[in-house]
Amino acid sequence: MRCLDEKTLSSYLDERLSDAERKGIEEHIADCNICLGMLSVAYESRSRSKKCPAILKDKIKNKLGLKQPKKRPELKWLFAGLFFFILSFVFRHYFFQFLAISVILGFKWVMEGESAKRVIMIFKGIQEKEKKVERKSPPDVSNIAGGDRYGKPE
Amino acid sequence: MFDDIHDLIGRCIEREEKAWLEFIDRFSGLVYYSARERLKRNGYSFSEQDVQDIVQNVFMDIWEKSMLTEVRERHKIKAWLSITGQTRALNFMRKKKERLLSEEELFKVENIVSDKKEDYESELIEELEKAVENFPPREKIILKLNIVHSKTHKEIADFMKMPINTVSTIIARRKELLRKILNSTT
Repeated sequence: MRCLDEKTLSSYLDERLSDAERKGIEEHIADCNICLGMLSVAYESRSRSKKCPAILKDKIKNKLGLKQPKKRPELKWLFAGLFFFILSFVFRHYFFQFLAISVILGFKWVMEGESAKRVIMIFKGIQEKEKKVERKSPPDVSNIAGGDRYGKPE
Repeated sequence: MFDDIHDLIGRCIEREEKAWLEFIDRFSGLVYYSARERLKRNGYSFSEQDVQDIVQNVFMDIWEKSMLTEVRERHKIKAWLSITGQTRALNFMRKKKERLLSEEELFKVENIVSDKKEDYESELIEELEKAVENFPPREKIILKLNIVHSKTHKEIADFMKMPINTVSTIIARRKELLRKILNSTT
């Protein structure tokens, strides 16, 4: 059975079809689980909240050669950190308390930067890959006499 | 910025840069969700990078082949985008499988398709398929949406543009019949 094309299939959910058109599509999707499955996900996708990683959005925009408006770096944490750093010298009595706050805010500023986010994502990606390799690597049977690692006789 | 999707799509067709930036921001999540769900439900084992490649390719194709001009009802583009994302996801995995086969990395191909969940689902679909063989198309769809895709009566009514009472009656009546059929076969 040949599946319906994308336009016809999507028209079932979104357009006002005539009874005959609707019936035609229904006759197909009643027996075609692939098309019914696609419509089911398309139906869900309209209402469920969806997030796309910011890095992916940027990649798409770069690939299409779109110039993105320059993002202003998040400087509020830096300024707040500097403010508390200065306060620590003004109110010497609370020097360490203010200094600790300024360090926390400085850390927040660094972590919210684009480059830090990228480093975190790369690190997560490496971790995921390592986990997958650990899970999927076939058992080492090279020590078993008379067989290679897939158990075939040599 | 663009309140009206019809207007947004029109400007995208004219290749206006701002409109495209907004189009990507607004709809990349929908394509991402659809591609990911399709791979998950088909039992493929995939990486985050696979999904990202698929989503990128969808937007590249829409841009390069001016696919937006083909959309008939511009203000209702979500279903079309979702289905496009899903078909591209399936094609991507098919190609990946072929590539690995040609590289003779058979153990990797086995790893693309997992696992028990798919076996269970395909068994369930097979059983249901046999039992509903002679039902009218609309009733088949309603039962499959309810049993296989776990849709509520309200969602099915909305999906099929039918009154909810009719959907509930059909499900109650047909499930009773299904129970009898399945009991007699076991």
